[in-house]
Amino acid sequence: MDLISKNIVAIIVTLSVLLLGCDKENENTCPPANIESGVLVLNEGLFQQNNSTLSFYSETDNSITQSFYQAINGMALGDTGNDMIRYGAKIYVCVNVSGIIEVLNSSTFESIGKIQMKENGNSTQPRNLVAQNGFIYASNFNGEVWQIDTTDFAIANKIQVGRNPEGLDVKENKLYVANSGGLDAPNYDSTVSVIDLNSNLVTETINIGINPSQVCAVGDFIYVISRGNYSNINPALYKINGATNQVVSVQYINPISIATFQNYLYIAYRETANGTTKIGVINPHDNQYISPDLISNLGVTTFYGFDIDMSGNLYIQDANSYVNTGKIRVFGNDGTFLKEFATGLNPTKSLKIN
Amino acid sequence: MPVFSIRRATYTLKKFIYILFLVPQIVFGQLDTNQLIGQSKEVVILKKVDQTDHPSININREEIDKIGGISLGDILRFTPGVQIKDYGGIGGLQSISVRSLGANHSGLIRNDVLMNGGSTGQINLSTIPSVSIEKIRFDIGNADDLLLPATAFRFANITTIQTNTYQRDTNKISLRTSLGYGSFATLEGNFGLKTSFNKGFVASNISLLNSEGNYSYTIPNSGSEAIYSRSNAAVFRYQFDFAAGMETKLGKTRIDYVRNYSNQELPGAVVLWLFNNEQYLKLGADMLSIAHTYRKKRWALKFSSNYQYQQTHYTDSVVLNSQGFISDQYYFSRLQNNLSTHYFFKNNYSIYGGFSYNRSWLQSARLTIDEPTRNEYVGVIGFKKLFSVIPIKIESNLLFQHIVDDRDSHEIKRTTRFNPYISFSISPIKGKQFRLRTFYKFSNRLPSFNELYYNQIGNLDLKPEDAHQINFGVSYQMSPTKWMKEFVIRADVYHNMVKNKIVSIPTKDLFIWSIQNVEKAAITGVDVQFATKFQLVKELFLSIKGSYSYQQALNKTDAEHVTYNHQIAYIPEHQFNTQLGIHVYGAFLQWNSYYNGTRYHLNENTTYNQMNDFWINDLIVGYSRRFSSHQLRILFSINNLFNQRYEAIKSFPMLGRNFKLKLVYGFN
Repeated sequence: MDLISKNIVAIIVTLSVLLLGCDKENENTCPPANIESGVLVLNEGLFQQNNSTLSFYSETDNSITQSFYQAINGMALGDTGNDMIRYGAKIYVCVNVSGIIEVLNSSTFESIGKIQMKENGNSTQPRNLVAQNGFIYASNFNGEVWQIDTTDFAIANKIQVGRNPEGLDVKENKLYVANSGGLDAPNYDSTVSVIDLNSNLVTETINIGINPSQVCAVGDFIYVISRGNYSNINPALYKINGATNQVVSVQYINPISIATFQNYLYIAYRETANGTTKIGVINPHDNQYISPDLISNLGVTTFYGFDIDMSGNLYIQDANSYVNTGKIRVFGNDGTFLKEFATGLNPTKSLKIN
Repeated sequence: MPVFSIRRATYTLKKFIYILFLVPQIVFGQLDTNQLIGQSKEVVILKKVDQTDHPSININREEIDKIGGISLGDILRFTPGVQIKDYGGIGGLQSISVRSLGANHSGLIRNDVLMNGGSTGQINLSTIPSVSIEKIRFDIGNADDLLLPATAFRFANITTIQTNTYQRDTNKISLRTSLGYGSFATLEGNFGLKTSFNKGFVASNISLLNSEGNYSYTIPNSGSEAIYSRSNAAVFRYQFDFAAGMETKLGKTRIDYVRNYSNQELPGAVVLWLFNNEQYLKLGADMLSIAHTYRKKRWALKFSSNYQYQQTHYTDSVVLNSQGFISDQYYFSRLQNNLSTHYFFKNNYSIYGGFSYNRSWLQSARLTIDEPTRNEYVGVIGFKKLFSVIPIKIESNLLFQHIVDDRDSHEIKRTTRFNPYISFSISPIKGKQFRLRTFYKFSNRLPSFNELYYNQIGNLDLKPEDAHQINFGVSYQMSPTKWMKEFVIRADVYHNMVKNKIVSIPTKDLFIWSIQNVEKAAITGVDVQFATKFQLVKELFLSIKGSYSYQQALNKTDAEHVTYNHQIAYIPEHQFNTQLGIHVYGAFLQWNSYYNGTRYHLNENTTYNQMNDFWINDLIVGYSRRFSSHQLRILFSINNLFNQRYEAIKSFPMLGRNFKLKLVYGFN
């Protein structure tokens, strides 16, 4: 082989490495993009396919890294990631079918450990997370809320609540847990358990509509979505007074998902007339819409929830028929569309990283 | 803040879907015989191919031994155009896909009885033991035996198997026994005894399978090479068959009773960081059959009837509902009645026809109604014509299906379909076994009981799924020479169109899934196969066989959708298999391999959905010896020789290297 040929080969090899070294084929081994500022997205993946992933959208260079967790940690996240929160310098990802809570360093995203959410080797199916007083509280489909110490990841307490607890939120050291009973469908649960975080005891059980799923504390109130039975019982939005634990209002406004920002309730709802999903803003004091059409055209195929960051930007999750690449559409707090980026399968939670 | 998702609502549903699609009913039974098909002990693969107008293949007992698999699925994977979807393990679920069509397009006939049924309409091929099979015939397009039930002609492709209780032998007493023992404490046995008289026979056979199934596997993307052992994977199965036949002036009569039993632990999908599974599947099936065939010179008439009863019990002991478990039971019953006739005219012209009336019903708490019933009226009429001056053969038939689904005699829905088949072949070179052939077939697969009535997702408005098949083929068989005893090559190009494909999709709402006729697919493919056998020296033979399949199976549902023109999930573009054998005196060495190319586990063809290809190699050595009427054979096989770690279906790891020793004894 002459010199020119050798050079050509060298160039081809170098180019191949440069071009192919970080292509999709090898993305799992790609070095992560700039990770100081961006959006971390949890993708549920599909049941029993071990393809729950994290995606990272870098705001520095507008790049997107799929399978971000794998790229950094050299292993897959697990099966069906349901929720993700940041607390202190850590990020907690609850992986439902795998029965773990994955703990990440919130700067480097390196795995710190896996909290085993199992009993007798079977997953308790951790569902949602909330943090308070140095503890993580995880609702588990097995009917318990587990209190986890964030210093040593030990399970400090297991608190029995209703059937298949899901959404949970904290209001003045009280934990409100929605018990859906979803695995008993159509015989749903219809209660919200109130746990006093000083004693870790259930102090009250509030009856609301069937199939309660999502809880959101807004100002003095706790909002809970009752999903109905997807047939002849419609979904409803319940408002609970945080001081008295009394249900103070029920609104049949087809709620799908709720979040809060600056003591206002942001609600994704289905407009009855044409079935369109919109996001509006409600003032919790009078239950009136400040803006029923904050975002009237979400631009998604399969709406899969939304999150709001500290600046009030909204991250709309598109599951795209559940079996296709999902996406996040980002809107400003005034409802203007800012950008969108692709994710993994079934994006379910977005966290702004600064 | 908690986040919204549908996972909770669909979790249970997905378990149901798992049962719905991945736990096909075991079906079994048999009846009737009459065709005196010789049980050649020689390799006769492809011998009959050149006589047909459509792709077909024959596999005999010796070839089954040389492939060495436990189940019918293990054997059929060496057939071009066939893909076996394997859920792993000993006794793990196996479903079939032929030329990218779904499993319900594939029919199975066992000893002349249609086996497809149950709540899913599919057959789990792993429940059909290969040890008692004497002969397999696989046809794409049209059934070959014109006296088969009319319902056999409704499928896009059909597998016909005959067991050792099918018919009379030339010997008074014959015995077929085998005992195999292999890795994972797998015991496989068969005992078959047959007494043949001048005018009849009595035969009984029992096949057994027992295995711990605790094979080792690794988990892809787990960040380690750790080796785990499959738990909850044991299986116990048996099949008992008793048959008797009698020949009188009025024809031949055959009766048959078959019992199948299977009790297995389901190791389930391998889920990262979770190593427990507590699912179980228990099946029991009984079948009683009777058939009578009358032949008179140019005329044949056959009547058959059978009754099947199947119980299926699926249990999941780890479910976080109030009960703490799921327990689903299905009770399927079916009565089949068939009348078929065939008349040969003098001028190489024949007509045939058949009529089947089947009534089937299913009981399960999982269904929206108590006991759905299906009445099927299926008729077929056709002709065959062979021209003598120019060797042209034409065959055509028309199938009529009228299906009435009801409950307590209250009609729920009524479906009528006409399905034409036409084939044409020509041997243009006189004296040469060179044949050009083509066929077209339109077939429908009916929605199953589960698809119509399953709680929450069943859909009464479902139409049958349509499949149009067109095929052009060529085959060439060389006459044997001194050193080349066999040379056959065959190639087919085909195009399939699938419409009204039955799939489960979310509709209207995130939480409301339904089974709908929504998808379309276009499949273009090529199947090539060859078989050769050389006599190198006096007692030294070399046989080489192989096939290659190419399939472009494109989603044509919605031109605006991201998956439009993407390759359909789980269909590899490339597949091949090879079978290389050396035979010297009674000894042989056989090397078998099969390859599945890369494919996607979802319809969107992204890197993340891609599954690795696999090439699995098996090695079998054997020695056969005959002492007058006694035949003895010893076989030792190493399967997955290179210990390849692979998955055929996402999250279901397959067996690594494993061994089996098998002794076969036959008398007469």
